Amino acid sequence: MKAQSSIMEYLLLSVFILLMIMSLIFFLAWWQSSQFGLEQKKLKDQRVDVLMNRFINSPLFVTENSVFDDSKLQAIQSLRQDACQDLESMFGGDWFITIEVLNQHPGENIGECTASNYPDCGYWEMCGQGERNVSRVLPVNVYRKAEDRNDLALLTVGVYS
Amino acid sequence: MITIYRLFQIIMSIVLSVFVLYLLIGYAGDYAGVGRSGARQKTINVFLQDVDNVYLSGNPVNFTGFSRDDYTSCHPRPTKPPKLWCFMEDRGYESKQLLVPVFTRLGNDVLITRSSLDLGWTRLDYVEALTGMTVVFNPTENDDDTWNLIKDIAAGFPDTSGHYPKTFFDFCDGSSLLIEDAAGAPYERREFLGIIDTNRDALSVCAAPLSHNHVLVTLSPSCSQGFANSGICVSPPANGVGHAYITGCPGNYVYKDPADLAALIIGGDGRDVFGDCVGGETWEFKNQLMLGSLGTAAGFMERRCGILKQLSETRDECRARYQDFESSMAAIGDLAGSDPYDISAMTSLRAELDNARAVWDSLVNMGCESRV
Repeated sequence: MKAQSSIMEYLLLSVFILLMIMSLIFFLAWWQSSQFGLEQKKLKDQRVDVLMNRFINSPLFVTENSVFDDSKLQAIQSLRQDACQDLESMFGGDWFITIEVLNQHPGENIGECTASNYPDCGYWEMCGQGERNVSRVLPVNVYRKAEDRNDLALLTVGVYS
Repeated sequence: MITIYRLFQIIMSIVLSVFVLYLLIGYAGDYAGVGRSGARQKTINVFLQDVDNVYLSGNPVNFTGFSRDDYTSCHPRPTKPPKLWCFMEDRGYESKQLLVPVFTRLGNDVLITRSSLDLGWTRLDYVEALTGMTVVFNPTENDDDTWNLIKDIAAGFPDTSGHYPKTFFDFCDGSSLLIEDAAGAPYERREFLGIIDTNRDALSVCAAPLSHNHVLVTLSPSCSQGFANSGICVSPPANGVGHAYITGCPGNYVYKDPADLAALIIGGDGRDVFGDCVGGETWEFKNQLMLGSLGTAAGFMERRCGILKQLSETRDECRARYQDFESSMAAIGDLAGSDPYDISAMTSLRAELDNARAVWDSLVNMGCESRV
């Protein structure tokens, strides 16, 4: 009887040690996957920052650093999906940008720009897909080609999941 | 005398110990392998982050991350999508999609710099990530075309004054290298461009022993496969466009701007683990990205001209020039989609780019546009 209970104790101890080792392995796996999730979020944040820097410096959009040219924005927006596909090969995919003019001058409209109302408008959106994800906002200037003046605007750059 | 229980304890202990050790060693071995691969992939990702930063800011950066690993080759490949492909020890590593044109000649210490192609109406930037190297010129003719080509090639490389590692320039005449400063080193770009006009002479075909850090650039109207002993052979341009050949590699590579030649020279005449010519792959990658960007930029500008022509605020003299510019952009957009190996298409493209620059300059001079 005493021998049997000693064997039982021994077996229980062994099982307990094994359980501890397996728990440690599962904990390390869970830790890795949670770190992976945080890393993905960090990468997305970094991507938004890189995209923002590229847009405010790209001659496709600006006349100089952080000064967008409204005629260039209008040209790109008017090409719609064709422009998006071309831009994806240069900037990657799954992003959107919006530029919204803030200071409305008397008698002028700052609604969404279309083929019929340019230059009497003040909102451009490119490559929007619907529900947004990570995004950043930055104050920029928009050079109004027709009026030869700069307006204040907000640039929003976002990345979808 | 040993009891049954004692024997049971011994056997059970051995079985359990072996089982636990097997689990732990197996897990640690897998984890170590994954960790090592992860660390190398992270090195490539961090390198490309630095490339992005330099592309955006233009500020040179020194990168030493590759000193921890022994790699066989690491260069951009013109796959769809294009990626940086590195081979370290017995494994290959692919980067994420390359969105920035980057030419690589990597080592333990790498200087990452940005250069530009200024087209007037737009600018195409590219990044060079170079370990210490010397570009050795071997001009076999003494004429203006050859020496202007040497200046263009040198201007396509970074000026490494005040930075490390260095990019040097030298001449090879027969079995000797010619340039030495007071310390016995060849010249960096600024000094090299300063002395180039005072030392014009046709040189003998280079037979000097060159290390792996030297890239020989032979300039001759007789360039063809097998003409040069090593490196790149560049024939003189006609209307800004010409052929280049890589020693030991098939293919006539067409150059139309300094970036084409920079890609060929930086890639060099070596081969990667697949047997592909690194210089040729780098040149194809350059054209894949930069011709694509050129086509996109021309398409957007063409549409912009159409919009500006319709605006009531546009002056009549500007309207006429916008019409010319729109036609030029349409032609460039078409030609940018041509085969970069097609010299007649690339000659037409170069002519249209020169024309577009002239029209843009007139738009700027007339006050219709501002400089990019």
